[in-house]
Amino acid sequence: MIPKHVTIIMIEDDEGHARLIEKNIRRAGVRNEIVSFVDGTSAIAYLFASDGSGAKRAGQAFLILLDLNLPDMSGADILKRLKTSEQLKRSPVVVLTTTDDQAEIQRCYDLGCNVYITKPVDYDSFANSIRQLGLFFSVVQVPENP
Amino acid sequence: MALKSSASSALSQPARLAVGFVILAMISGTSIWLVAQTRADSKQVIRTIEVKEKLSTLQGLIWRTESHQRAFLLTGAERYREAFRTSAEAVKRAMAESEAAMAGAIDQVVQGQLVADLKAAVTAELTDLEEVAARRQGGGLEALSSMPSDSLVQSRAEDIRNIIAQLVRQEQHLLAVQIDASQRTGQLLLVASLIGALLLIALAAVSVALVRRSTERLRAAHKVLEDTNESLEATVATRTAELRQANEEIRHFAHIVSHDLRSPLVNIMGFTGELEVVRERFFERLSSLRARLDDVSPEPDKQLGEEFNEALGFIKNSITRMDRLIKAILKLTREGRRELRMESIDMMELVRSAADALGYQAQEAGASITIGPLPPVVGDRLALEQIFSNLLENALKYLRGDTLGRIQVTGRSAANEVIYEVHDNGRGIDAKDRERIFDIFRRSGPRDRPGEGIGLTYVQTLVRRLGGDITVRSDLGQGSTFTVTLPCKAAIHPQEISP
Repeated sequence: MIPKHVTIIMIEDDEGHARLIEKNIRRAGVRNEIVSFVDGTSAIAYLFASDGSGAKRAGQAFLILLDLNLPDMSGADILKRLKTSEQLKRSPVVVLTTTDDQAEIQRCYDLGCNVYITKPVDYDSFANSIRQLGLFFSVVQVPENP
Repeated sequence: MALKSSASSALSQPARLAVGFVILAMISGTSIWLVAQTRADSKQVIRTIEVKEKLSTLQGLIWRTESHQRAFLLTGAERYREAFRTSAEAVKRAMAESEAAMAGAIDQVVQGQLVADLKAAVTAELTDLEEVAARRQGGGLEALSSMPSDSLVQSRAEDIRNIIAQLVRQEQHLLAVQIDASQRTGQLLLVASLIGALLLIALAAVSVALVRRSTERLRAAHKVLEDTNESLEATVATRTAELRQANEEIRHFAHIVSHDLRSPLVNIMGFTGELEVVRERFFERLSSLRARLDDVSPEPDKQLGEEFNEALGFIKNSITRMDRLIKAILKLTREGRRELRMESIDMMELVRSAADALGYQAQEAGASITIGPLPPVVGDRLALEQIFSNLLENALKYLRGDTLGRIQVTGRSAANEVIYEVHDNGRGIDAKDRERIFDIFRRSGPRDRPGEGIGLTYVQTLVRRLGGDITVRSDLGQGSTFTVTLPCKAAIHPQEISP
């Protein structure tokens, strides 16, 4: 079980999907706080706080769920900012998106994403995948931000 | 316009050639005539000289005869008498020769008269001379004195000289007239020839100009044609690129739409699932509350539950169906994007394995599948497998319950294509549906078999990508035959029609 202080950050533009993801993660027994954002701007504002460096987030631990198709910016841009940030670069990032394009998958791993999951299109597999992801969350180690 | 004018110049060309030939012929004729004329002129000159010579010979001979006669008269010597006779004979001969030389004269009237006069004068002279000579022979010098005095003195020689001079003049006159006339004609003809030559040169110049102009026009027309060709190629290339782009856009659009449709569908499916969970909890809570209130009539609850289930059931069915349709569109768009790998394919083996994969269904339906000899083809293995397994599956699916199913696959090679036919004795397709069945989501006949109306669309897309075509023949209630025509060496068509 991941420590209580780990916050799951979910950046997902479809609120329905966000809710379903949350429900299924909870069903796997994950009780951590989940903070949802429907666009990239507000997510970045939260993660990097007011000074934009992420220094204010020292001591916190984030596990980030990231959708690539966002209304205001590409998920890859957020990924790039996270992985080049001195404070947040060690936070695990799970890219959870509909795209199964090989070039896109490679790019995300190149940018430093930790896990890339394609959202299954039928609900049963979707729910199943998210539950497994929840189980994975419950065993993964998340470092604190420096 | 260029065509019209070139036609008219083509028409005038033979005419110009004919005119040129006529002028040439005229010039040649003139030359020949001139040569002939010159020859005739020189003949005339020769004749005139001959006549003059003969006449002067005659004159000389007459003088000689006369002098021989005088000598005889004076001497009475026999040798002079003999010489006289010989000379007289010579005169006669010369006279005959002169007459013959002048026979071809042009002015027969004047000449003829003069010749006759000359002949008469010569004859008379000879007769006179002879008579006098005869007298001298018979009676000596005395016999001569009895003769009229003037008969000796007055010789006819003068007359003869005059006539001969006249004849020579006449002859020379005739020659002059004739040469003059022929010279004038010759000059005229020369002028005509010169004009003809000038005309020929002009004609040639005109022809050259016309030919040059028509060549110029031809070159221009050729250039225009070339330009048109080039621009046509460019236009075709542009259109092809546009079409390809449009097609790519449609495909991309279909892909995006189907992806984006899926996203809300996941929500609908997800929350329907959640609703079911909520329903369970809701009814559990309802029954526990009812138990607490000692309400023993579960009927309204049961009815509510059924209504709930009915609504959820419809929602779930529709979602499943919609999911399948979206999946089908995705499959089609993906198929349109897939790269084809062309290889030589043993169709007997391919169709056989497709039929084997449907062995269970065929056994269930009690149907037999026979595969005739099939010619090989160059194509994409996966696409061909999909085509024939879809067609066989359809044939099995739409068999009639009352007849034993018989499905036949046959094939033959034609000039540039191979033709495969999948024939069944199933329920057939209504004439009005024969085109529609290839449209996406369209089906024919009663909806008593599972399916989304996608298989034939998919098959058609694949066949067209392989550069072929698919058609159907059918008798409603008797069976259907699907004919797949593929090019012998299948060319990849990037612009197949895709949904």
